[in-house]
Amino acid sequence: MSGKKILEAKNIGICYRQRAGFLRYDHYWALKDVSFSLHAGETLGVIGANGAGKSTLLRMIAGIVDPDRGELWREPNTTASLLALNVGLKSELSGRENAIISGLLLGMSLARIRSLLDDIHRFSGLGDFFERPVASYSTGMRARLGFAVAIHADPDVLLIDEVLGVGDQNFKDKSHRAMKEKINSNKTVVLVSHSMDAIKALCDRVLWIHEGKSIICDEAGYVTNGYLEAAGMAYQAEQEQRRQELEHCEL
Amino acid sequence: MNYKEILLYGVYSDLRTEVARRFLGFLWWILDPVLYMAAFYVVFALALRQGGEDYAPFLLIGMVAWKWFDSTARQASVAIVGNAALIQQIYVPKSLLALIQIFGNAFKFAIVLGLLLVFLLAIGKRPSLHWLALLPVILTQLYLVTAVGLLLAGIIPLAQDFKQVVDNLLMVMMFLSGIFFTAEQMPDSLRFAFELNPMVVLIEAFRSVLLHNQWPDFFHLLYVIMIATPLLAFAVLFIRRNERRYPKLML
Repeated sequence: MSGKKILEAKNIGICYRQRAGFLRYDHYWALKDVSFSLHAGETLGVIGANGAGKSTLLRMIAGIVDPDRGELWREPNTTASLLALNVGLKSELSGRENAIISGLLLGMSLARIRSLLDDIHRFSGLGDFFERPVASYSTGMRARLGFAVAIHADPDVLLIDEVLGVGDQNFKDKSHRAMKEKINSNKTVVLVSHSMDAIKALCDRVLWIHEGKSIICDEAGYVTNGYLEAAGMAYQAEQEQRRQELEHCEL
Repeated sequence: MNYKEILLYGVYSDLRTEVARRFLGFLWWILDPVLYMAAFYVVFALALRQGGEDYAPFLLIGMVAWKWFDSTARQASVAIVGNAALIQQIYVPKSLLALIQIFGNAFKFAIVLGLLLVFLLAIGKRPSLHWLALLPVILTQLYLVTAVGLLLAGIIPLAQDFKQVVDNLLMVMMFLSGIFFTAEQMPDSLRFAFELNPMVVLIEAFRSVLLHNQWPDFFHLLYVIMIATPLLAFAVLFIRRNERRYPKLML
């Protein structure tokens, strides 16, 4: 299943700078110490609580940000991009024109986009709205346009941040099917999700990060079980503490 | 990623957006400079009674060249900051964002230049072979605005306060660019410093071609290129160095 290594990260740290008042900046390490590797053709899941650094990790794999410490190696000439919706939508322009802009930004050539436009149009299910300005779209319609373009872009590594529930039930099913197709094909995918069921069903291996540090990166079932156990233990500890506090009050 | 296609389509879609956003559409590309120049004409030629013979064309040529520099500098300086949401989601070479602004403004300049030529013909100026020299003058200014635009685009995301400085600097530069008066009208002690300003040199070149039917001083153009080249080199290197830092700065 897993082919040759196409990306390896060793002890990665990423730091954001935040303005913290007059003449002051704060530094915030979104990733502190993360190590993992990615192999061609596999689906790697990423799990962890909110704020653990999952999205930052995807941004790093996509080449949007560079690590501030640690080592990152990637196979030369591999493209990686986020399954990003609404990339640079301009509300004055039509769905068709926006599809072209997004497609170009997602790395497709103009000729390729032109040949795919009919497919994108059909997939989006926008009908006549495809030729109208995006300003007249509902939120769901925008997301459908964005998804239709993004799913047609074909990077070597596809990065998915949460299996998105886009649009109405009908489109949601359609988008999930399209995503599963990509994942089950021989494409390399990195999938961030809070749904352990989705992770277990779709991923070969899973990376678990906690507060910016990688805990483990191993076979899917093994890691998710550990994660759920840890979450359970944390929950129990919390209950225990609450019980003690209550007792304390009663005394 | 096909950078040339992104650049061309980016310029096209930006211009389309501007047209679509306003009721009078592309007419604003004509109305805006006409109103702007009329305001200065009223103040300087009619109210302050500047000038003398040919003051109107003298003023207009200066304003047209200056407006090109000014609007490019302003818009390019926010090219990266203004696309914060985009560059968080996908990797785009940041200089491309600035170049889209620079070329879009060059296109608008071409329209205004056309109007200016019509105006000059209407008041009785006659073209001569010397008008061919417009081409090298325009290319020199394009080179200068590209250098300045990229430089501002690259620096401002790292120090956004600098935007305020730039705005004021541009205003001072406008009054010191010889739009309203010539170098001869400056006190001798200041004249040397005044002529160091590349925009003074360029505006003079435009005037000698269009107003006096003379060849521009090609050494002066060379001087502008020599000023712009190190700026351009620095800007390109600076942006390339910070390519993956910009997304971290804009949270």
